[in-house]
Amino acid sequence: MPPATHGIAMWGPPSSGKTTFLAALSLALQRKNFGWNVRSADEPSEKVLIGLTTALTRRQAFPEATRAIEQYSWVLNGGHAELTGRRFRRQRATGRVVVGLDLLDASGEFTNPEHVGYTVRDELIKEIARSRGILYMFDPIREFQEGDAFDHTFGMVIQLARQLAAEPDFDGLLPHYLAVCVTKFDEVRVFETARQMGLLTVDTDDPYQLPRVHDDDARELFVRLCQVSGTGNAEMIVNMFEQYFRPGRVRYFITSAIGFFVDPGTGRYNPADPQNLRPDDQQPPNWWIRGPVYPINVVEPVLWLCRSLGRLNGAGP
Amino acid sequence: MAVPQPRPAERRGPLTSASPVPTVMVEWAQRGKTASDRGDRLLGWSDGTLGRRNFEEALTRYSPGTLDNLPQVTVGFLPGDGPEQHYIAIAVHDWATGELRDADRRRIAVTNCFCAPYAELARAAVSYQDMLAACQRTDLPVPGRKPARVGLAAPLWRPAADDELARQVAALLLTGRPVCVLDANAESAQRRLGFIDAVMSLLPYGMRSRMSAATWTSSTYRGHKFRLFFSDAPRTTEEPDQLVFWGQPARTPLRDAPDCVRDYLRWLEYQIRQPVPDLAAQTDKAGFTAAEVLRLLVRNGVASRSRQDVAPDEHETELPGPVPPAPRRPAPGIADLVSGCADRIASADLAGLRSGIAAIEKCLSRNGSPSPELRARCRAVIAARGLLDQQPGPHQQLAAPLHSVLLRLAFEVPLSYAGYCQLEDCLRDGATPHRALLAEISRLGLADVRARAIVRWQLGSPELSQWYRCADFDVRQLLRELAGDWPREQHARIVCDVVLRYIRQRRGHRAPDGIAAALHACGYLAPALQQHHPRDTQFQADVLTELLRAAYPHGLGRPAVSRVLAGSGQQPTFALLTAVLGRLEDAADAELAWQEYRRGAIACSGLDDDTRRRVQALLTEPW
Repeated sequence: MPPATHGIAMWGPPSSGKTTFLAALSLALQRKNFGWNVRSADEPSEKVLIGLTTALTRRQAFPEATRAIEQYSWVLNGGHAELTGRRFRRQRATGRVVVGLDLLDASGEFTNPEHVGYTVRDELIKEIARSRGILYMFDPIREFQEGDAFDHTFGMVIQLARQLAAEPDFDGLLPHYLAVCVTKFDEVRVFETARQMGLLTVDTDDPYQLPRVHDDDARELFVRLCQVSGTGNAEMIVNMFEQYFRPGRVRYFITSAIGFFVDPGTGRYNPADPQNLRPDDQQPPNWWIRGPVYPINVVEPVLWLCRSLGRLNGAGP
Repeated sequence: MAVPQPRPAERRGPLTSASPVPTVMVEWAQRGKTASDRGDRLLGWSDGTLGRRNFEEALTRYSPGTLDNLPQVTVGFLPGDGPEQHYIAIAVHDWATGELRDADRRRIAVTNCFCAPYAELARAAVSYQDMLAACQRTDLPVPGRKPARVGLAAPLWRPAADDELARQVAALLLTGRPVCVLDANAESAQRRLGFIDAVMSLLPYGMRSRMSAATWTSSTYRGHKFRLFFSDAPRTTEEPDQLVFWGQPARTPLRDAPDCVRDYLRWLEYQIRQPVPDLAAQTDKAGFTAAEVLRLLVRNGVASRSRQDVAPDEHETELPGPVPPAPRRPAPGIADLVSGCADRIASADLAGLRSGIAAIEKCLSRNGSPSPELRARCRAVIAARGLLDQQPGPHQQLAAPLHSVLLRLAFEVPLSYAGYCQLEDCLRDGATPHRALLAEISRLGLADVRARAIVRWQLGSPELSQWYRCADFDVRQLLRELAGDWPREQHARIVCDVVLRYIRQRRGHRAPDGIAAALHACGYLAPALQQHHPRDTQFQADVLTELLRAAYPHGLGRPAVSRVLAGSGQQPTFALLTAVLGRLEDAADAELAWQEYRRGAIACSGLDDDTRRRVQALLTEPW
């Protein structure tokens, strides 16, 4: 029986970290024993999966910019535990679950309101409308410099709503599950903001004790980061999400595709030297990834979407 | 900040030093990013007919996806309301010079896009390679954002019509489904673009107006719009692409292909000797919808007429299913081909007319000279359909080849006088051949002096004067012809005028050798003139005066008077007497002229000897 396949679209302004997030996904699954692995469902997706992962590990570089609407078919294989049996004889059983992912990674400029009316944008809207999960990438650094996240988001939401209005059970709210991923948590400014807010924590299962922000605190950090938007418009994004998406279908995650620097010599994280990204001596500088990649909160949004969509479809983890 | 440029090493100029002949105004755009940008944008564009939105739409619509193997080339089109507003777009995708990186440390790719009016490209059947070579000589951005005028060199490339894979792909494209070429990773983008050109050379040129192709696409860009593209893996789509493998035509899945594919492929392989020039001439815009493909097949004789009433689909949609097999019919007869040409003229179907002409041409070369019966049948069709009449219309640009095949088909060439009369019979309302037809007749050759004289006369004075200086012009021969029988009086008049013009041009010069003897031999043309202009004595006298002037430029003495009026063995006419009287050296010789006229008239009267002697005796008696 073929696995249930969930369509998940990635959406965000240019260079918000969409493709890098995907590149980090398989690494994240292997760094931490989630009990899941990822493979590809077709040959083109396989080449991309290998290529993206290799870019981060071997070349220690970011993937090339996406220039169209790329679609990958990956499969998540994992185990899950569930209670079985009757009321007083419940047992915890572990089963294997296979979840298909149809991932859509589009060039960020297509979400630019200047592209309204272009064929490629219309196709993107249709593809997102067909999916039921959205990984929304919010780049706080870009928002601080450009302040255009709201511009890239509002038009898309409006067009999505119009696209879905034709569906019989549309009630004015988008049916998608929305994982709002704040990217580049490893950037000093983002990290410091979280630290000053007292939101840093560690995962007790993490051998490197890398800092993270708990999912329950993610929205608070997100709101704070929106307040330092270059245009001041990002504050409207939270309200917009909560007005257009169903309650309980929006969740926030603080993520980093490349994570913090773990000294390969010592195998330890040093809070005094956290940055895994460093410029070289050239002008303008080229940035390079210093050490091994330890993604933070890259798997969690995907699994949340899979579980949510699985419940929606009556299948999945 | 300087706009990144594609790497200079990859910009190629023309392969030869062929001098540019036609030029075309090309509109351009450049897309990419600067070092401070995060996302791609239009960096510059020409200020012409196409605007920013046109270029953005074209460049995003015809994106090959996220590639790391650059440079690559894509081709597409921008439809317009009229033929001059329809553009062919060719874009080069390459890394920016100097390994520039954007604000997020990623390599910058730049796309240079050039858009040329389809109509101008179609006139010279410009290939994608030629267009690219011409456009790449232009540095972008052009100062002042002006469109660039580029010279299109004489074709640098000749299509590889014997490329089996190209033939297969051309046929597969007729299904309307995209074709993906795999296993071409080792080939250069230039080579792949050459293959695209080779494929398109095996389809009517007009299909380039709806064609999109890429030398490489991302296999995960499932929604791209290319009809023909190279990639490293099949893309995952609801309806799979048609897959072919580079250098491996045996792997092309043709067994289950629709009939239109197999028919067209067979046509390309076996039935057409020169598919490329015929197809290159079919420049009417055409797409890949079912109706347009059927039209293509019928036009080129691959399938019989069917579903001609199907309206073309304006949107790029896939064929609903395999094209229904065309019923097999015997090949059309040559008379049908001639009639078909008339149909195509009536419907202003230039491409179809070209094909019809080519089909007749093939019949002629294959079967040799037609039989008299076939010629007669074809002449009947030509006459009925007015194919040799002068008809205004767009088909006039094909007048020369049409006339050529029809003349060779329906008449014996070089054309004799008899053939010329047959040709005139094919013209409506007693018309004479128009100039273009006369030119073609002249080019094919004229078999006898009567035909030469008539055609040259109709072509006009310059042609006639030129003929006078040719070695094959002999006024004596014309005089002999004039003395003969003429089934059409107007032709005799024409030839007579040819002679007279010649004589007038030579006035003041030495008389042509032997003209007096030639005139003497034909009775100075007096009987012929009397026969053809019985009620125009004055004309007869005028002509005869001209002739006598030519033969006796200093006038007629007594011996000449006798010779002319009574010595030719042909009955003198009163017009001849009049002409002689007008050319006497000595007016006193008028009585002699009168006497010789009587003598000549009696001698050649046809009376028996007794009657003649009696008449002569009576006429010599003083009244």
